[in-house]
Amino acid sequence: MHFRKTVAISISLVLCFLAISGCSTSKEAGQNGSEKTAATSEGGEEAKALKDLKITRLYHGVMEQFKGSDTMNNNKIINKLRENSGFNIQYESLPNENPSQKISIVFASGDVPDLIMVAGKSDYFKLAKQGALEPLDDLIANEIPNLSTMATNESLDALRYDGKLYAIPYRNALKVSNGLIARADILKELNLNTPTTIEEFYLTMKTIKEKKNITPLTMATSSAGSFFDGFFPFAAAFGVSTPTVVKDGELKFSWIQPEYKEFITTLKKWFDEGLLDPEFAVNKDSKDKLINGTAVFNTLYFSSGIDVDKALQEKKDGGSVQFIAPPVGINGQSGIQDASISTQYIVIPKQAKNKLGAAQYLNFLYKQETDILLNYGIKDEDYTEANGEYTQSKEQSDKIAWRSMYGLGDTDFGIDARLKAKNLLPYYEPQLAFKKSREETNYAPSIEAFDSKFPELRNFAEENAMKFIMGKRDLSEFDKFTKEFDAKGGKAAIDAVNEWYTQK
Amino acid sequence: MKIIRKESIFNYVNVILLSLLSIATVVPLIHIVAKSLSSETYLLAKEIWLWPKGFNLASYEYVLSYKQFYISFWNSMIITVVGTAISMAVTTLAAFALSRKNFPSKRGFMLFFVITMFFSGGLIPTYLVVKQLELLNTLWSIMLPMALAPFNLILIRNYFLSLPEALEESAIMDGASNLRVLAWIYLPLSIPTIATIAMFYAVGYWNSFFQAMMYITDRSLMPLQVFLMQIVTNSKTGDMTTGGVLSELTPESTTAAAIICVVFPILCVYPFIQKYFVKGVMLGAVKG
Repeated sequence: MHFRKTVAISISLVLCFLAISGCSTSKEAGQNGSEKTAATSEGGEEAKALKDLKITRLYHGVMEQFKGSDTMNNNKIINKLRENSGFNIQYESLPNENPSQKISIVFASGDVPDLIMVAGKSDYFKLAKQGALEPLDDLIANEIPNLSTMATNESLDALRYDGKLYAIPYRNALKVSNGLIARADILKELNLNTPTTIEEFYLTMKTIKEKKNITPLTMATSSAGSFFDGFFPFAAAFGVSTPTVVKDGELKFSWIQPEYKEFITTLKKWFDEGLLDPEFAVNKDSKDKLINGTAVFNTLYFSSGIDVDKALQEKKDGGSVQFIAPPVGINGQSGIQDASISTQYIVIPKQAKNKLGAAQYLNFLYKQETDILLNYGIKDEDYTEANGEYTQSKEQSDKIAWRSMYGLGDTDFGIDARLKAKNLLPYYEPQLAFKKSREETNYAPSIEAFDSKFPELRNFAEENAMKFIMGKRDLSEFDKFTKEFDAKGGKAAIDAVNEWYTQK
Repeated sequence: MKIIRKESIFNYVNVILLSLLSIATVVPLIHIVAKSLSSETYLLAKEIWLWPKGFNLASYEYVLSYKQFYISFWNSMIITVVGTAISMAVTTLAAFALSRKNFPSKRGFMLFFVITMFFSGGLIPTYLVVKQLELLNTLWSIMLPMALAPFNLILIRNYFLSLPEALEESAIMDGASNLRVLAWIYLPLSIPTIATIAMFYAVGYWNSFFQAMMYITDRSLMPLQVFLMQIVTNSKTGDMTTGGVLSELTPESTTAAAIICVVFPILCVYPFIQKYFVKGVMLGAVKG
C-alpha cells in the first residue's frame, strides 16, 4: 500500500512539474504570445481583426543586438510603429541559413504571415507560378501611393509574371559594394602615384615587386562567383566585367568574348611575373595580406575598409588603406560593381488574412516620417534636429542599433544616416563617383532557360578562367573553351535572353 | 609479466595513434579559445594559432551582453532538462514493457518502433503534424516529436533482458507489482545504462537545432544552437556579397567567444557522468 502511494504521489509530482514547466515556457514566449491574445480579446469584431499584422522578414544581423529589456516585438521603436500605423504588428525572422527551405514549408503549411520577404529571383518566380502570391497591381494603385519613391517602373516590370506583379523589390539604397582598395601608405613610401590606367597599374605593381619583393595584388576567389566579383574592376577595363555584354544590339556572354581572352591573358602575365598572389584561387580571405603588408591591392567590400584600417592603427606602423578608382582600359572603359540591384522581395501570400492591412502598412513604412523614425529613432531621445540637420552620437545610434530591421526597403536618406553613424562614409562616398557597370539581365523577367543554367555556366567559366591564369590549361585552347561553353547550354541560355532583350 | 615483442610494438603504435587522435580533437578547441581571447586585429591578420595575442575579454563581454544569449540559454536549459525527463520516462517504461516475457505481441510492438528507425514521415508531413497539434512556436515542438529514440529503447530493453529472471520472480512472489519491480529492482540495477542514455538524450536536446529552425520562428523561444548558428554564419557572409543589405558582421573573436559559451555548459556535465560511461558502453554487448 505504502509503495503505491509513493508511486502515485511521485508520478503526480512529475506531471505537475512538466505541466508547470510547459506553462512557463509558453509564458517565456513572452510579450509575443500575451500581446496576441490581448489584441484578439480586445477586438472581437471583424474590423479590429484587420489590425493584427504578421511580418516575416529575412534574417538581419542587427537582430542580435537587442539589449536590456528590449526584444524584437517589444521596444520603443516598434511600439511607436504600432502607435503611428494603427496596426498591431508582429515581426518574425527567417533563419539565416537556407531561408528558402523554410519559406516553402511556411507556404505549404498554409499558416502564412501577411507580409513575407523572399530572397532571390528564382524563389520569387517559383511562388508566383504556384499561385501562392497575391497580385499587387490593384493594391499598389489604391493603397501604396508612396511606392513611387521606392521602386522604379522598370524594376517592377522585371518582376511581372503573366503580366501581373506579385512582389515589391526591397529597395537597396547602397550603390557601392566591392571596390578596389590600396595600401595608401606603401604607395606613398615608394613615391608612387595611384595608378589610373591598366598599363600604369602594371608598372606600379612591377615597381612594388622590385622594391619590396612582395606580390602586390592579392585576391580571395575560392568560393563560387568570387572570381568575377574579385577581378571585376580589372575585367571592367576590358569591357567584360558583367556576365553579359551588348554587342550589335544583342546580349552576349562576356566570358567567351575575345576581350575576355585579352583580360585573361593580362592576368596570366601578372600571375607569371609574380605580381598576382599565387594563392588567389584558394584564399578564403585576403584582408590579412593587406594588414601584414604582404600585398598592396585587393578587392574588398566597402565596409571592410574600416576593419583593415582599425587593425592597421592597432599595429601602429602607420598603415592606412584607401579605395581607389578602377583602372581604365585602352578603350577608356572602367567600372566597379553596380550594387543597387535588389535580390530581396516583399510579397503578400494569397492565403494571408490581412492583405489590405499589409498594403497599408507598406505605404506607412514608405512615408518620410517613418523613414526618419526607422533610421534615427525618436526625436530628442535618440537624435536632435535643427533646420533639417540631424545630429546623433555614436552612443545614441548604438542604443537602437537594431532599428533598421523594421524597414522593408532602404532610402538614400536612411543609408546615409546609418553609414554616418558607423563612420563608413569615408569608405563609401569616394566610390560613388566611379562608373558602375550595368548588367542588362538584372532587369529581365524570369527566363527559365537562362536563370536555371546560369550558376552552372558561371562556375564553368570561372573554373576555366582560373585554370588559364594558373597555366593549368593553355590559353591556345580558349576557342575550344568557348565551344564547350556554348555546348554546355550557353548558346541556348543567351538565345532565350535575347528573345526578351531584342523586343524590349 | 613479460611483454612479448609484438605486443610492445602494438602498444607504441597504439599510444602514437591515440595521441594523434586526441590532439586532433583538442587543438581546434584550443584554437577557438585562443581566438576568443585575442584582439580582432590579430585575427584579421591571421596570426592566432594556439596562443592568444592582444589578450582581452571584450568578446566575452560582448556575447554576455546579448540579450538573446540569455533567452536562448534559458530555452536550451528547459529543453534539455524537461526533454530528457520525458524521454527517459517514455523510454524506460517502453523498454520494461517490451522486455516482459509474458507480454503478448511484443514482437509486433518492437517492429512498430524499429520501422521508425529507417523510415521517417518526411519534412513537410511532419511539419503539418506539428502544426495541427498546435505545437508550432512552442518548446514542446522540440521535445515531443523526438521524445523516444528507438535505438536507445533497444539498448535499455536489451539490458533489462540481460538481468536474471530470478530477481523478478522472487520479487513477484513477495507480492511486488510490475511498477515496483521496475522501480525497485530494474532501475537500481541499470544505473550505468540509464545515466548513459540520459546523457545521450541530454546532449541531443542541448544540440537540437534542425527542429528549432523548422518549428520556431519566435526569437524569444530560440534555443542556443540556433542563436550560435546565426552568429557564426553572420560572421562569414558579407565580404563579397552583392545586391544585399548593408551587412552587419559579427567580429570573428565574438563568434569564437559565442562558441565557447555554448559548448562550455554541456562540457561541464561530462566529468560527473564519465564513471558510468565505461560500464555504459558495454550495455547490451553481453547478454546474460
